Amino acid sequence: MKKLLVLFAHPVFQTSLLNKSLLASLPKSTHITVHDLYECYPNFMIDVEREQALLNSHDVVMFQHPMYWYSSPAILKEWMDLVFEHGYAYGSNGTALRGKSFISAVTTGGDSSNFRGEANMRELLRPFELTAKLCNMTYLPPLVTSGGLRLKAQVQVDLGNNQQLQQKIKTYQRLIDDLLHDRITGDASQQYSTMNELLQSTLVNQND
Amino acid sequence: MTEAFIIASLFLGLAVLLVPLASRLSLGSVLGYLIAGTLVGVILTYLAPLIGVQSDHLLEQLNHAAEFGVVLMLFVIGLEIQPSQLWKMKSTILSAGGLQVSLTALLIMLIAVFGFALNWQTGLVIGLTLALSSTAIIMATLKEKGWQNTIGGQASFSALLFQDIAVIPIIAVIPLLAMATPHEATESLSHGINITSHLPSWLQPLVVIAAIVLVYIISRHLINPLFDYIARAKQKEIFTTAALGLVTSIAAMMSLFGLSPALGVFVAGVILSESEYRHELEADIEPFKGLLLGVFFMTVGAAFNFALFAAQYGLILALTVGLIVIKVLVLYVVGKILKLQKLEHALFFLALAQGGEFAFVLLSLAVGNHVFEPAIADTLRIVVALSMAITPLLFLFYEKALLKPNLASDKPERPADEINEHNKVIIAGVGRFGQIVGRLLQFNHYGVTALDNDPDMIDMLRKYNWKVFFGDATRIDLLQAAGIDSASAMVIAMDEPEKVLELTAYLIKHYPELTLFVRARDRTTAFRLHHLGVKNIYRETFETSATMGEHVLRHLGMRAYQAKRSKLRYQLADEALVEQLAVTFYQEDENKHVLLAQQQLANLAQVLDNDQHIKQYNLGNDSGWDETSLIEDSDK
Repeated sequence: MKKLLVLFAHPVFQTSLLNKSLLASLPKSTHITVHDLYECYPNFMIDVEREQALLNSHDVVMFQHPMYWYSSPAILKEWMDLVFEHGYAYGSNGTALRGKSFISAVTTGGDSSNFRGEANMRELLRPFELTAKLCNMTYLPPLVTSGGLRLKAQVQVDLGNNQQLQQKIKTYQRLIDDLLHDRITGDASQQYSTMNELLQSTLVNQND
Repeated sequence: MTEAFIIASLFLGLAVLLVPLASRLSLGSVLGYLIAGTLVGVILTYLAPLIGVQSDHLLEQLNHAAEFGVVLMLFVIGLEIQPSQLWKMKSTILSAGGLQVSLTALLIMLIAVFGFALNWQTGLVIGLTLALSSTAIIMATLKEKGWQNTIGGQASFSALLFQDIAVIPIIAVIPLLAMATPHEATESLSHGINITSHLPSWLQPLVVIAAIVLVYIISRHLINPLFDYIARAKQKEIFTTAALGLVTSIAAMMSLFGLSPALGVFVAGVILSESEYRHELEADIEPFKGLLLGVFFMTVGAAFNFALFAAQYGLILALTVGLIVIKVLVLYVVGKILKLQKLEHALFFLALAQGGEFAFVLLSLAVGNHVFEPAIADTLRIVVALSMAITPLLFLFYEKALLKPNLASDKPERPADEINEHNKVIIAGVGRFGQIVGRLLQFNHYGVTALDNDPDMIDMLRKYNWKVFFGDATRIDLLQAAGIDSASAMVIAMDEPEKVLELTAYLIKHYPELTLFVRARDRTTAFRLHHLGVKNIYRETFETSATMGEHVLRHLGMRAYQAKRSKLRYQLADEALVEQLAVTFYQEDENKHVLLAQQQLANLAQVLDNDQHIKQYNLGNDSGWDETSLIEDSDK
């Protein structure tokens, strides 16, 4: 089994619906570490040594965050700037991350239709992809969980039985399970622009 | 008694009248004192018979008091010379001062021996005496004009240092050159009792050394514990008394040994310059020194012998011009050797071109020791006084003719030997508050100069290489000694709000360029600081208690970042309110004269009222992250 590090960044987690639901659905496992950045570092004083030690002891690095203005919340950028040091993450001696997998699991308030064409999610996350590659990590297509606002608008609806939400959670859980069991290879995944497509196709294959 | 009052009023009145006038005409205070003294002398010759005193006798007595001013000045000069600094500047001091003194002395001696047919001992003493320049005039002028750190200023200072030190061996040597018996010599030297008068002359130098060793031991090992003890009593006057007492007792001891009191206090000053009480001592002595030096210059002026001048004015004028020309020429040669070539370096040639106050002391000493006739000394006194009177004109010439046109060319040049120990930041009060500020600065390799009046705290901090000085930071003279003129920021962090306010008000008025960071004990103090116009106010518990509140919110289950932002928003809103309240606080104060305690209660009520206000800002919400309107929109 692989070890998964979820680097979670949400400045107003208390108001989030999707991320709360997704994180709550994670299985209790010693192989999964959820690291809540805004909770750990409200002053933005990121403990670089601690973060690097966390990276060292995990195989898969997952950035989980809402999309804010087509990018991540601020603390994640700060985290990258400080933790992915030259000589650690990249450069001739920077081999600490070599061979690990990198994946983004992003949520959006709008519907998935908002992230097509020039706002294509794979394109938007290009900085993360290039960062992962420079650090010699295997980049996996992002998982996109969208429609948070529409769900929130249905406050009266019983969310526990909300089909749409349950479907999103299931997809997320399948991804986590596949990552832990190393079922997704970097090469094969590259033809898909999002992890959602990849999971959809394997689902179809399984059904065959 | 009445006569004493009349004469004191005469001296002080004329000084008050003429010194500011001389300063305004940029002639420097010394010339003002000299002229005032001359007038006093003239008036006294007519007035003295009327009030039944002998004017000669009177001046002689005043002279003794005035010489104490020279003694105090040497003590302060000693305090300003740290042995470590001295060592750093040794090559400049030796080349600038050594060459200047020896060349000038030699030239004057040759003129005296061959031009005036005097014997070599007389020539040597005259040469050495006239080679010295006036520390009082030069240092005061350099400070007044802000030239201390220019290359010319530094070279002048180095040469003066050498001269001040050279006075000591000169004083020791004069009795050996005496033509009379040492018995008579020592008696006149010390103006009275003397326990070494029966000693043979070969023993005198040994006595000098023994006395200096004694002064060293006292200064090194007895003074600090004594001042520690006095400082704990927190009595400012007793500290001043102790400082003056220290100087008088060393002077007395040296006199008893038949030695120069100036020499003794100078050595004591140098030794005490490493002490943490240095700035406090300097500040305590300074007013006395200033006053007595003023009196000294006035007695010089008052003793100006018009009859003699009228009889020999040709000779005296020629000697004065000759002295200045010789000094300028020698300084020019020394300057060439020191590679001082630019026009603005001419400060060095011109500044030192006069005779100094030590000349008066040395001339009396030489006459007392029968090295030469009183008549020679009388003539030379007038020459020295005239050369001193001309010095301000030389400075004026330098400033207007040489410096101004050249100013733009190379101002930023810095001297090689840094004698300026002043840091950019001064912290007033390094108790539990200021200490943290200082620690953070030192952590970032910024030197700080700290002032505090807790001797135990100072001892502790000094062990960790802090530059901490003892003293009450509200004393402006102490702040000046700590380098406030060259500081860029001042941290005011004393415990007592009243002292904080007093110091802040003074600094805002007199040092508007200085950036102030001020500790406010409570809201009331913060209001008053706002009222003074302070920009950087730090309420001492505000940050900590707000952080504590943030952590309590977290404990109650709030997200850390939400709690953090809530705290920050609360602080911003509260600070804005303090600014608003500062205005109403003063309106109330002036109209109703509310008692302070009541005021504070009223303030608290106001704060609580205003928290209702703050709530209206809807603090719990960062609207950039608020989705409410978006959700509404998504329904459409």
